[in-house]
Amino acid sequence: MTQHNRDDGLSVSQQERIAHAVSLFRKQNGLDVSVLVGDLELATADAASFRAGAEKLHAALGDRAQGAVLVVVAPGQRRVEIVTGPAARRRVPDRVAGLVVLSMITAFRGGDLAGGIIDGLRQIAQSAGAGPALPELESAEPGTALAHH
Amino acid sequence: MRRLATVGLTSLLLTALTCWPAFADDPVGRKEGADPGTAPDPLTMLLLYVALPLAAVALIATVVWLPGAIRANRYRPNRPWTAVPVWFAGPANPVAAVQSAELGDVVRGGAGGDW
Repeated sequence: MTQHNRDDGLSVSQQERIAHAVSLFRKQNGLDVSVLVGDLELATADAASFRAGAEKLHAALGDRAQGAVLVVVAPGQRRVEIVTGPAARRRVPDRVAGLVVLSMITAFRGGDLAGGIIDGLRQIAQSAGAGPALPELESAEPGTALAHH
Repeated sequence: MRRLATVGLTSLLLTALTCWPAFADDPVGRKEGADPGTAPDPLTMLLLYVALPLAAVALIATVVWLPGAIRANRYRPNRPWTAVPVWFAGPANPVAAVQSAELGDVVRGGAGGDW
């Protein structure tokens, strides 16, 4: 489960705020948004392999992947990637994703990790517009930890 | 000319009247009851004028600094990140899902950047 180091990682309240934003936009905009905060294990530390890793995570969403927007934030690798499925891409065009990435990066540079993520999600949701609310996910946890392999 | 004289004279008279008590013999003398008291000893002075302000400054500094210190989880862009990844609204079983993930021939969109 979630493990807390003393000087890094998201605090409980930060996790709650992100989880709240995610469930709000799933309900309000009917957009399948998902956020992963953590460094990826990559063979090479370049942008292309990070993108490939993020796409793999997006594929891990399974049936949801078509309409899902996955935001991958790697605080240690200092990289953010937004991956949209084909259906989600119509609601959140690449141009919008690019702008969201820019504004998130500005917040991250200033040390505001949770705030940048939440604002980014808000912009993604705004671009997607209104839609029928998605059913709640099975896991009631604020965030599901992904163990290192 | 008359007006000027009137104004000048009146103001002079008024000023003289107001400051007249100052010329009185020992206006508020000690005999009237004003007691300056004895000077406090140096230790008390030091406490009052040095230690007390320092304590006040320290108190205010603590009140300002404390909330930031409690919020120790602040992210610093140049520090390594050792925390376990957290996935919000992710698959029910993330590890298995990632291992069995198939990219397929789906064209995915989005954007990326670094900081």
